[in-house]
Amino acid sequence: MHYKLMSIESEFRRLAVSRNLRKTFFNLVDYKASDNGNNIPRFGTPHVPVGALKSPVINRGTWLRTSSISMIIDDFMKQNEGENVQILSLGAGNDTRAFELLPKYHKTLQYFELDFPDSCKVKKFTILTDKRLYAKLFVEASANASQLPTDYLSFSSSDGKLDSNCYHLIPSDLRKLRKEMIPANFDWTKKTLVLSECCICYMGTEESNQLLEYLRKWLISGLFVVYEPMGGQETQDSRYGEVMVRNLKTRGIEMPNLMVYNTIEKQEARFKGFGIDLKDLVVCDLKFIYYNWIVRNSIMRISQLEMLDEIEELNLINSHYTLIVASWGNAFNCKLRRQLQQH
Amino acid sequence: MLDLDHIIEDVRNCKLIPEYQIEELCRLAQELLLQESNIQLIDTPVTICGDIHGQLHDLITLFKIAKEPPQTKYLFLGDFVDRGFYSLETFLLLLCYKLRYSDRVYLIRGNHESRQITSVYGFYDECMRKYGSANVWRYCCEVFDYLALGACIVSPLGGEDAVFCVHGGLSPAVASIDAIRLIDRKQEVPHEGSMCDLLWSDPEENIPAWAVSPRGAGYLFGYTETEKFLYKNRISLIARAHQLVMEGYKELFDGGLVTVWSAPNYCYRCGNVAAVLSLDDQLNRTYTTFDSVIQGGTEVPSKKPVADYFL
Repeated sequence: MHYKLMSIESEFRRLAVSRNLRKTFFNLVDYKASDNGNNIPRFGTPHVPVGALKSPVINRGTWLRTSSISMIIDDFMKQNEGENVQILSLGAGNDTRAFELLPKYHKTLQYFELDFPDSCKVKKFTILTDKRLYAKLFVEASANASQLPTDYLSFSSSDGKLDSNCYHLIPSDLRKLRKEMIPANFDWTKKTLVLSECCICYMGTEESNQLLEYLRKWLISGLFVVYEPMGGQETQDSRYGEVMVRNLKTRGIEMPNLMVYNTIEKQEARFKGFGIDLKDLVVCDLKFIYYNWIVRNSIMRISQLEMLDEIEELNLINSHYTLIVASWGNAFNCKLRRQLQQH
Repeated sequence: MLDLDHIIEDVRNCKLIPEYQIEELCRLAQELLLQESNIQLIDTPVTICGDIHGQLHDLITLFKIAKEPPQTKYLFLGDFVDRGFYSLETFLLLLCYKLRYSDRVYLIRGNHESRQITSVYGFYDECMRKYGSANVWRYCCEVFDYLALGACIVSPLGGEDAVFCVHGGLSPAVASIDAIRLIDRKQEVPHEGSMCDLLWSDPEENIPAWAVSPRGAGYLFGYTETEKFLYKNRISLIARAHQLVMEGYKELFDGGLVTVWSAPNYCYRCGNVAAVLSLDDQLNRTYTTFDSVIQGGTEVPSKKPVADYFL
């Protein structure tokens, strides 16, 4: 929160953001909505303060999103056990996955996070001020201690780059990604999981496809794990996508691909277009995953934590989000997940 | 003395109604509802409406499409409050119409007409936001306790058949409509038992009899249980609400059961259409669907949280 405020130049805007951040802690305003400037695409995951009262349907869906992505990452780590692998997280923002994975896999896993410079700075300095955070990433805090900014000026002239022997935070604009922007310690020959958790959906259609094509071309062996909304098939009775576009617009958020890749079929065609074999491709909506991937006991356990009245609404929302698992060069065996595939 | 027409006008314009007037309104409503039995007997023709969920502007559209009370006789199947941004106005409007035209407007209880659920799903917060105290919420909850549990619709021209109306569905503890008449309903909705089931259960194709509900309350009931209930109680249809259907209504079990949903673009996010069901003197069914009025964006108050997504 501290560094978030420091990243803002205008005193007025700083006050407004500070007010909204405080509200977030009392859960009156959505973090992203309040903190996102008009039409500036921002990548990352929402910041959910501990104990925040989100609506049950959103809590349930967020849990499903996290657990289904974790399932694939776990599969990937297990299938390639003992081998040196990489995870490249696009628009990592406030994502905390690295804190969980590196203590477990730091011997074989290199974790790279990409985001806009300002987001990286906020994350970097937040990490550096808390031992519970930097210790998990094997970051040497003492080497970085002198860099902590104290005001906007020192913040803006600081560098968002952070490195340890297994964790790498890389300030970059994904719309203009070039090979030379990727640090030398990124190994294009290693098996690499590329994660986009609601990231490329904020980019233009061309931009996002160029990015994926680029990674597909240069990585010898890779796995895309993409979670994003899809507008769905518009019918006379269902205009979910159209309503979502309108609602997001009132918050200054644009998702250019929402109605472009609005169905599972279209997403499938998109990834086949990157030269992914059908046998290496799994495209499911989250409703399917909820009923087919998740163990019944887990759902029972979660249901006891918070009662959920709107099953239909959850199903409807979940059917408008997709998880895409697309592999090439033997990075991942999709066989098991394909058996549990939709159609 | 309350000027109901004046209050109706103000509520429709989203003007804040003074707390003392709401207290009075709720007291009168309790007195009126107290006299009604658990199962209300209603003559055709009647128009049946499903969940409204605080979508006041869509309720006003509904009245425009199916005619203003008292021109049309209405039965609302519960879930007036929560989720939408105008739960209080929605409930007050229905309550005023009930008091003003008591034999033209009927209200039965939904699972959201409860203290526990409204404190999670928005109605409590809305009252706190609008009045700064929980008094108004408390007055309304006291009215909830007096709402009837169901209705039976019959034709004044006679005829064997009837239509049974309830918010959720059937209960394994209730074999006949008469059994519902014996329930002591004047209480908070319990966590289990017949009263809970009537407000929480859902029909489900592809199950033999009863199954555990994924909602954590009530049951799932299948074709055979529905058939049995229809036959035993000599009814031709169970009309219920409780579940979002994108088309506004959905008939199940060879037309023996229908779900009616009257909140278009539910939660300002779902993009669905809504419907009401009109029954004529021969119990013929006419469904009228309608869309959300709210295209301009003025319907969602700018200072309140907008529809949420995973972003």
